[in-house]
Amino acid sequence: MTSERPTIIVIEDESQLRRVLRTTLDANGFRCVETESARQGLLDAETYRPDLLLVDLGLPDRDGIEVIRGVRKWSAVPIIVLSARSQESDKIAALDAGADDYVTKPFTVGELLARIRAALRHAAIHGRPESKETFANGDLRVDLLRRQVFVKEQEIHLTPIEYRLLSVLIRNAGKVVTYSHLLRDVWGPGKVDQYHVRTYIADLRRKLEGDPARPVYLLTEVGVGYRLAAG
Amino acid sequence: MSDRGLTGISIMSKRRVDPEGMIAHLTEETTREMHTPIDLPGPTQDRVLVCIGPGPMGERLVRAGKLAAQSLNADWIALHVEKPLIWRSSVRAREEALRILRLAEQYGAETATLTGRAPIASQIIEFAQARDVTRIILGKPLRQSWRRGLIISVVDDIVAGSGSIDVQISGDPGVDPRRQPIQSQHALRGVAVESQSDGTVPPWHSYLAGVLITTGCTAVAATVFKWLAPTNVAMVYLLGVVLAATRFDRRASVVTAVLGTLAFDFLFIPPIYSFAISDTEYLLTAIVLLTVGLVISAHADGLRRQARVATDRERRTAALYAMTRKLAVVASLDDIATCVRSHIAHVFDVQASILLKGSDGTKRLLGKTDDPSKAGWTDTSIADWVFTRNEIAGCGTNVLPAVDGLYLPLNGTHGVVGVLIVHCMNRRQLLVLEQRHLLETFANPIAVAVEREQLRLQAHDSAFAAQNERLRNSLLSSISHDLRSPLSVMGSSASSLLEGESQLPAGPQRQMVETINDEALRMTHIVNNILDMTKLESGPVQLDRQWYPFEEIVGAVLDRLKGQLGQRAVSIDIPHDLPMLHVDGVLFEKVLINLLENAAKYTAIDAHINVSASVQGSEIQVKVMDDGPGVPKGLEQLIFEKFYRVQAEGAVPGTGLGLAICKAIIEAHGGRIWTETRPEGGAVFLMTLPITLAPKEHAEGHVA
Repeated sequence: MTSERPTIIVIEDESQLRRVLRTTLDANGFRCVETESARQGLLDAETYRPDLLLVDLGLPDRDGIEVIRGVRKWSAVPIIVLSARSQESDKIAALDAGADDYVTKPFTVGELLARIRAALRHAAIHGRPESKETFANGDLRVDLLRRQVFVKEQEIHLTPIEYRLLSVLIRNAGKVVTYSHLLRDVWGPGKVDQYHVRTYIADLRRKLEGDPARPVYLLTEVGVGYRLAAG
Repeated sequence: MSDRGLTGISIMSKRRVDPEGMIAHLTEETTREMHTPIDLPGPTQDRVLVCIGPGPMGERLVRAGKLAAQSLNADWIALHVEKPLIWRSSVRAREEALRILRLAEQYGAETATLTGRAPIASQIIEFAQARDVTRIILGKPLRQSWRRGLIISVVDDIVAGSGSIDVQISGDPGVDPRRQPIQSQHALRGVAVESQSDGTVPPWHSYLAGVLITTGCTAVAATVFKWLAPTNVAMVYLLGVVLAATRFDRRASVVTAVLGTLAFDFLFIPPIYSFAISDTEYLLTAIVLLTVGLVISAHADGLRRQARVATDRERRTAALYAMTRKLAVVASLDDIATCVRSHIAHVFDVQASILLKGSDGTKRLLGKTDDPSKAGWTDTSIADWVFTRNEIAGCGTNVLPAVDGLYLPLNGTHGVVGVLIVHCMNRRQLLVLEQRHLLETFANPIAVAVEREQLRLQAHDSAFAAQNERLRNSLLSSISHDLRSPLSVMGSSASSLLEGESQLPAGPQRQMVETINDEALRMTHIVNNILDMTKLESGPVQLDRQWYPFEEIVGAVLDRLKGQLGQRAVSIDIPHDLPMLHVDGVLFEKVLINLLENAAKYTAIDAHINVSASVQGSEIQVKVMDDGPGVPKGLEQLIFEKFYRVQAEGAVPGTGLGLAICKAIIEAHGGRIWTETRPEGGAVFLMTLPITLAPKEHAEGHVA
């Protein structure tokens, strides 16, 4: 941890992709540690105490999700999953296991760097004992202390559940929050259908978004969950 | 009635070839032979026929048959000679006969049943000749001597008529011959009792009829007595007997015969009003009257019973014919099951179902009963056993005789095609041998129908496989072309970058890198489409259905296609009260992506695209409209086919899979997709999805 540059561990078995990632990360001011197996990745994570992990889900020795679970036992370090397309269930599993975000292959460098920065920023905020008092993005402003929501400085009345939903998304701003995560945090462990999550999100959108069909704040990751655009 | 005492008969001879008679006979009488190939073995081949009657010697006869067959190295047949009306023999005797036949089957015999109709002997000989039997084994007749005197023995008949067939008569040293007649009489009594209980008319009714007819006859006789001699008056009573025998049953006619004789004697034969007969001439008249009366009774009764059997058989033959005819035209396995169920239920008063096994070992029970109280009676493990062993099992057979159902293998030309499972409220009915053999007769056309249907499905599958093969080939050629072109562009760009290194100015360098990037994206797109299609086609699509507001998916799609849509104006019309879609979000998103990509591909840069949804009856209709050139006329169907592209290869890149993927996804959701051309120009893609009822909404107050 002597380096000034944030350390990122890349756990990816495809050597070509590792090379691209290393070059890209190095060029963008990160220190990159590569490894190709889940076992080595877990060891490296303990050795290097990285600022972020990039984990491929399809590893030769073990499932990437096990790496996530292993790391989560002792660390809250941001983890971004690299997943192939059409693996929504894997993405959900990874997110529910504790991953912070995912990037779908093939991804552009810009996309990946944006996600990495968002995750690092989020971790920095989250690490502080007292998190933010307000959340603001564009026309949306939420006063977390007074529980007030403003769009274009116009106060919007939210029902208790809508507010709780929004606050869970704000806590995870910029990250994808799975349906089950939302259900758990908003409704508790009871059995509530995902249908209700969608209903409340739709209501929330109607109240917060100018055009609910072109959301600016409450973004949909179809099949996985929702992401609140970070400010 | 002459063969009641036929305890056991057995017969043998040199083979005779009489194929015509053989076939005629086989189709008429026996059932098991129907699927036993009738081979014509060499002249040295012996065949033993063991005739098993309703007596107690069965086991011994079976053993004798087995021994004879073994020593001659011959096939052997156990033939059961039944009365035409099996319900006339006692339950005990019937079960005994069944047991003996089963025993014979165990010993490797073929079994057959002859429904006896007089003369039994010639029937047996006919059968023996038809089957090229060389030796007949009969049991020694055990009968009270006076009856033997009266009625010509069946054994004697067979011996007389057997011609070149050897006849072996097997006695039973273990049985005391003096006890035997009592036993057969016992059986006889059982028959009488049963025939009474089986009659449709209560006995007192018959007796009353007899008495009334006698009274009527007496009245008539009294009127005509003045003009006729007493001998002729007897004729009136005979007429009465005939009337009773034909109109009523045996009981009525016997009563009429006896009472008539007594009345005749009492009222018309001198001395009148006394049973005494003074003139021996009249004694003869009275005896003849009684005898003729009794004989008429017996014969009329026999005729009526045979008529009943004939009617019954006629009904079954008609049912079998009707079923066969219907089976010939049914088009699916389920229809076969329905047809079998209704026909078998109609004839046998039983529940029937068919168990089929696929080539992959999956079991399918067709014609399951709707009645939940009987739902549990089918034991698939028994059916399994029957399937693999090709043996009958269940009620009344050797295997698990205690269970309620009867499990018959359905034999096609290439082995067992299924199992016919029959369940009957009345177990006894399944125990009846004739019923069982009749069921086997029914099993044959069913087996043929099932096999035909299975072959048809197989043919269909292989046609499908061939079509798949063709598709795979066109896929390969399409992929190789579509993948090769971006690859070559990328390869050449990359190599010129590598080789040229610093010589190239920055502008062209960047251009090349951009080209590589674009081509990589294009390839990704192609590969993704192919993967999607493969996944959709690899089997039934597993839908992860969740609730989505339509606008949510549209939003996600528009966000994703920002780049491709560019300047095109996209308008969205979604009513606020549109029900949520219960769809696989990822797949449905793919449909919209493909449709919008298509719209972007085929329209000008400043085109208008409209996405809308509305409720149409019980469906949600989604429309994607553009103001581009529209779909060329006549291609509205074709564009949804795999690999079909309006322009074969050229300006517009693609694999020709996009719309095929849409179609597969929408159809997996139970919806439809089609295209129309807008009158003002441009294409409309429409799709419908059935509306699913949303789960009950939780009131916020409860959970908040």
